[in-house]
Amino acid sequence: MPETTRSQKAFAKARPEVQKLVQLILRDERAVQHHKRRVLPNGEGIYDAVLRHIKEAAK
Amino acid sequence: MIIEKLIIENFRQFHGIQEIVFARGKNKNVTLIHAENGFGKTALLNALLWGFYGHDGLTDDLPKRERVIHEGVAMAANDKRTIVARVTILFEDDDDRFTLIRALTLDQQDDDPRKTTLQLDVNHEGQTYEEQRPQWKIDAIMPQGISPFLFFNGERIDHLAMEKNADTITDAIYQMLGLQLLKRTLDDVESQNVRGKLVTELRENTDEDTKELIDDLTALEKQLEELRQRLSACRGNQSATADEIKLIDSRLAANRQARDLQSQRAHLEGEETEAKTRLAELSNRLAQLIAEDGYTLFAEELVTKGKTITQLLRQEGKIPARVLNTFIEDLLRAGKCMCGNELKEGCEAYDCVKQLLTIAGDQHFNNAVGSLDNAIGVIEGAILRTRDTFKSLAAERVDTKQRLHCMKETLDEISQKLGGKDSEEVHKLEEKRQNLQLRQRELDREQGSHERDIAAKDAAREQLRRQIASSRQQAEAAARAQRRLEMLDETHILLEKILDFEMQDLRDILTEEINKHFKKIIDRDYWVELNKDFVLRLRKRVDYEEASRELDVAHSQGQRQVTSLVFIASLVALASRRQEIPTILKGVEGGNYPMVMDSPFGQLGDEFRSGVARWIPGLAPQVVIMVSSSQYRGEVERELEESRRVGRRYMLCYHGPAKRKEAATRISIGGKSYVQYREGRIEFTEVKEID
Repeated sequence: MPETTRSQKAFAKARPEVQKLVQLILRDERAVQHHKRRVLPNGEGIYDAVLRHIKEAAK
Repeated sequence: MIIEKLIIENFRQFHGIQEIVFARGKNKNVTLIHAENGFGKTALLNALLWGFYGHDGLTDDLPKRERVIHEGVAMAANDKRTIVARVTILFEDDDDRFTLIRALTLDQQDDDPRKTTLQLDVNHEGQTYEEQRPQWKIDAIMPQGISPFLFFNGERIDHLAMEKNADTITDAIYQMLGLQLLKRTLDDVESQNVRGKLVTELRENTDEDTKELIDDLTALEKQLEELRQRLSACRGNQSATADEIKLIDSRLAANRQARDLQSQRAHLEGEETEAKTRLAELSNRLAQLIAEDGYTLFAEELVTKGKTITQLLRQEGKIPARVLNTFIEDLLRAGKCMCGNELKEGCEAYDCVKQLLTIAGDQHFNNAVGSLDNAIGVIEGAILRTRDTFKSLAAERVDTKQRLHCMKETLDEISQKLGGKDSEEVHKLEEKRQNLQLRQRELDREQGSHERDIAAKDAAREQLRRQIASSRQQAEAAARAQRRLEMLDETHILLEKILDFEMQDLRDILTEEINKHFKKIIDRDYWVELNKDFVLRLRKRVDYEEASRELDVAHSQGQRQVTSLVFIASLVALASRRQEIPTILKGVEGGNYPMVMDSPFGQLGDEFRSGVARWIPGLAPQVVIMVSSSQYRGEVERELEESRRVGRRYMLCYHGPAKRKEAATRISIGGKSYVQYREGRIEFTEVKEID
């Protein structure tokens, strides 16, 4: 296994705004997955959170 | 997930309340349950599955699945509402502890056995609460889709190493190795709640022409979804048809009149599959050769022409430059030739030296001549290589096609012979088989057609998306909505790429893990391959004269069973150390999973039994093995004892009016003798812990 995986390389090639957006969405998805629910600890639904991140990324 | 305890009450043949505490130590992770055939091993496995998933979780081989309440108790019931079968499972996942209770009363069972009640209590950081959506929570911890990998009858898992199970394998990898996160994220960004809302935002803020494009796109996306569903149904039908053919084949193989021809056909079909795979490989290699080096085949005339020209220039002394122009210019500037003569402008010597400039060249020119010679040589070599490779691949392709044609003719002959047999049974089976094969071909065509439609609609969708993006008459709000959709598209593409690469990397790591264990168990030069379509194959290398080829092994049921067992154990092992595997996903969760195996040594030959007993228990964090005395005796007992991994041991004692002839009244385990059958009026199984 190379130190930099293929997915890491693909990620590095994306635009910085897209990188940040993917990081934010994955962070929230991981949080809801960890709690085995579809709602974030602050009560926000995961769909709303994803939509909010996209809207903030492309104002 | 690690299971702590199972409490069974009136479930199938378990009368009253019985309980099993499972071993879960790091080095003492094995719970061994001894039981003769018919004494309750399958019922015990099903108690766990029923507890987690209810009626739908029960295995297909469980007879009378709709009756889970102990028959004796049910028959003696006065009030059906008070008679209950109950399974309680205590387990832990991450740092939370769970108590699951599933129950079914007799009147519920008579009405609809799926109407169970389920309660799930969660203890999180010392606080206990009742989960409001218990089944949803259980599915989130251990989805039913992966249960066949964790709770299984060892004698029935050989089918896992077959092509039709590629989707099941892919899902298990997604789930157990943490890629479900990416899949779920991709589904979420594409959902009506995200993409749907952004599309609506764009539509509301756009002109009429673009609105039309957006409506077209929405319609196209709906069609694509429908097509994907049809494709999935088509694949399901293919799998069911293949199962039916397999069933017919096994019945033909068991029939005295058809046995030989069926065996010949099975062998030939194996060869046919190999030949078809090879044909596809050859076609791909030919296509690649033509795409990459095909031009060289048309470059021969050009190369000859180039060589003639360079030869002529060489003869004329024009290439390479025999003298450097910088040297001549230096002499003229210095006014003195290398022979000592004065070089003055206008004199004969000056003109002679100046004349040399017409055949002189610079260093770059000479380098270019060298490169040209080299390039001509390279292309000449490439022409020869491409031509030879093309000829050899094309010849093998023709040969493979001819072989396939012959095989098809022989298979048709076999089918005709079988159809013409006197036996009514053989005749009918063969007729049904032929019809199923026709159906299979129709389904193949249907699948191909769906795949083509999907590809075409995918392309059309991309085109529409580009058109919408380039629509110029956009107000500020529409432009913003468009930017958001573009951002979503880029995010989607990146997530898909990440998922694809992560999956490929995991497949390689998993293949390596499988082979590491597989080679310890199978003493042959075989290896397991999880190909790009996630089909589990057993491979071997065959050397013939100068050539060497890798082929699929026509594996026995025992080999398939070992392959499947090793695959499951490797997957469970990788899941438990998922955090060590390089990934872009931060904090990715694999998880600890138990392996509960009913009769894993049942169909295995002696050559595999000791290897499986020695290696498999060390791979999973928790292992439950149910064995009969005949499966346990000998190498299995020796290996399990030597491993010192057995932390808890139980036996199932059968009570009833009569026992199976082959089962003894007493069982000997570890040198001690225990009663395993007691005669009695009521039939039930008792769980006993032993030393």
